[in-house]
Amino acid sequence: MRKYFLLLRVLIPEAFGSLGEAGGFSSSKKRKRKSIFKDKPWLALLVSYSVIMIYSAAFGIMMTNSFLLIGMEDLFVSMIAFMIPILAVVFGFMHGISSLYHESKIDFFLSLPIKPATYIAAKLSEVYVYIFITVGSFFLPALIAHAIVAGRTVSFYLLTLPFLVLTSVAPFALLLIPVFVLMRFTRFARNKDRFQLISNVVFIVIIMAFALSMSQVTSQMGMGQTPGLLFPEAVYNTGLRFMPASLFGDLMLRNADSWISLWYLLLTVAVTAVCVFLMLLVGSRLYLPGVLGSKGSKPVRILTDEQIDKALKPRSQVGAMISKEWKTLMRSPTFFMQTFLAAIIVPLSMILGFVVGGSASGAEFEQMLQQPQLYFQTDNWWRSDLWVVMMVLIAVGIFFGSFNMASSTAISRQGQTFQISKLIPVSSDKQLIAWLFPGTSISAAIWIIMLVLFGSYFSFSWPLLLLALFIGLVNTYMVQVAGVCIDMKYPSLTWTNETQAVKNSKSSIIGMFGSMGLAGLVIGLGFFVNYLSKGNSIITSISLLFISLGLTLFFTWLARRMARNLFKRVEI
Amino acid sequence: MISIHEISKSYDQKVQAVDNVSLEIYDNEIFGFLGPNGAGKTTSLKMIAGLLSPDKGSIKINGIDVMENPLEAKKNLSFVSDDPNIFLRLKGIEYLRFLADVYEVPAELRMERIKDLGRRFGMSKVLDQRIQSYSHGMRQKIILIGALIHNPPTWILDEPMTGLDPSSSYQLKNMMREHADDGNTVLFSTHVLDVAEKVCDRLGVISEGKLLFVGTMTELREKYHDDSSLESIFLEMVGEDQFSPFAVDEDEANLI
Repeated sequence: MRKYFLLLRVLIPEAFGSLGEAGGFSSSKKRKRKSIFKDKPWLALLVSYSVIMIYSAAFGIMMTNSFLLIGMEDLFVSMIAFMIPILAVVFGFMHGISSLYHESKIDFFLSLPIKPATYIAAKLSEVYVYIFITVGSFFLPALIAHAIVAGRTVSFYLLTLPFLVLTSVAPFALLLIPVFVLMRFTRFARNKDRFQLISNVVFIVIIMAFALSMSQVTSQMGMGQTPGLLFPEAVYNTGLRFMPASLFGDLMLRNADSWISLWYLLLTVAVTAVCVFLMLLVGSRLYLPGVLGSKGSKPVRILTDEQIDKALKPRSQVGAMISKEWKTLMRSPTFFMQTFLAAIIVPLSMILGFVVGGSASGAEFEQMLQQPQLYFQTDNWWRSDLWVVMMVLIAVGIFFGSFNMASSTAISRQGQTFQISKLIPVSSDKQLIAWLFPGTSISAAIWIIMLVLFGSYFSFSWPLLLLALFIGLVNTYMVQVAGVCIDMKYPSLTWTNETQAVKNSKSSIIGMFGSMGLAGLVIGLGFFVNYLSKGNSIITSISLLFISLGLTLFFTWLARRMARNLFKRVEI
Repeated sequence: MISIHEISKSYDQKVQAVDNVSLEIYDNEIFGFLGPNGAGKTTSLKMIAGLLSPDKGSIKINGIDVMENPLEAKKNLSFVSDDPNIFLRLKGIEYLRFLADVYEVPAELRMERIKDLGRRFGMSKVLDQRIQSYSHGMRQKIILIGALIHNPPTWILDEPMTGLDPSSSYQLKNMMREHADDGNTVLFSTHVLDVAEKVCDRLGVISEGKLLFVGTMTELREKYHDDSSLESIFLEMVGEDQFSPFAVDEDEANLI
């Protein structure tokens, strides 16, 4: 038992400590910059989950209010009891495989004089702590908010914690049984990078679905409607029959003001204990062979002469650099998540939120959209406000571009490999094109897709469409080139963990907020010129165009200059 | 040919990592850099390759100044770092193609060289795998193949034998010899005194940033009037105490 706790003391801070590492270090040898999260992983954790917790509390308040109207407040507890196992299974699957099978430190721990059973128990506990934190962030604030709104007794509050633990442990334990079998006898999830990438995307989809359901509920409340259940009542009742721990947990919490809740608590504990016992039984036989098996080499494809010929086809220096940038960016889950995914997710979630929230609010939303449709269809109408349209296009272009951090981390992502950039006989201008290409092309593609969607929905006229395309592409490029300048100023090249290169580093944060500031500057200048020209739309529009083009040319000049100096300045 | 003229380098403006080093390394020559850890070998090699700028002095590769004309100088050299953990997410073949492209190696030549080097280092069968799946030695080999793909006149190799299996190590030594015999220059650093003794035409011993000796093995023995191994001469030159298992730090000694 002592060794179990000793292991936990190492494993748990290790599991969450990486959140605090995301500080990034300057390439300069003068001094190291300390992240505010350094040595405080709990703070990083709290910040990461705070948005979910706020949503959760709002969800608890709104749903409980809604259920109170129809006298069915207990249904809220059933809803949570139904959702906890789903979340525990999804997150348990993603995090469990990464933590139990993909970590490089496993070899070290297995070599220690510790019984395998002790190690397995500690490792599973480590994974469960993560599951509990996730489940707790999603549902604890909702349950507490529910208890306050519904005026539950003190015993409800006391039973909330065992409810969360027991209803999540049982499904997590049962889930691990097929995981042990899969990892022992199949090649499932052997590609760590691919699995991590898919897991991260699934995680974001869940967060988005949760946020969208909240958006729907909020809109319904705003329109004076009663929020509906996320699923029909029958789904919860039928679903809970297949989840005994959740069924008894639900009954325990519903009857919290009665002694019978203790009986249900005992039943929940018993079901959970059986699940854990079964999992340990299977785990003790399959986990270690599965871990050792996962280190085995996969079948090697030996290239034929023709394949080598094809694979070595010559390209230009710029082509080779761009291809290398793309591959290193797309093949690293961390780099991909932190640079591109936000650029894709943010506009997508805003559009979806708009559509979901709008459709939930009914006919008024459709009426509200008729006005802009007419505005954009009629050329003379939007042309009379040309400077406002231009300003909005510039601001939106910069705003969405600012979430794409591919260019503002292009230097930092190279880390120690930056010495290859210094070593190869490729001019700084050519390398700059390669650093800018992935970010610019992705942002441009997103802008074009958004333009097609909005343009076809609001029936943009061709002149407006072309104007929006031009303005969007110019500003997309401007944000990326400004981002690469910031990264050249504050490169973080001595990282030991990919996260440090792209998350919470000086260049990524300044890149994102600096771009937003840039949007503000352009808008401010637009208003200023409009004031000076006494409201002349044409003069203001032309000025805005020149400001935008001027800033783009300025940042391009600056980037070329900084790239030339970068190779002299940065020593690695 | 490499011409180094009075180069110095300090990282913190206090301790000289390299202190006023001048050196000529000729064509047809394998030159070995010897020295204990932290002596200034890697710093010197990185300055020669153009990765670090000297605080003072100049370096020329085949008459081209590394600082003034870096692009031209880079075309004339290949550098192998002591850390082979680069581009881990690229496949071996992708890494080699990338280097062949940036050094503009013609199609037929790159094919021929990669096949030859792949065979010599036993890497032909794993070129389609990602570098992250390679062992340390395999990573070292792919870096070596990449560095030699454009066959520049000057090779600068930092601890190139580290992690190599005996067969690859033997191949590399042969290749270094062939390259030098073809009228080119090979400069490498090593900790393995046996390798230095057998492979180098001349060697330089560096300690605390200062070049203590430059010459052939015979000249070294003559200078130190010692017919014994390079190991004992080396220990005598750089200070035997720091290698002794019984050596005690001065501060610690005071505490005792």
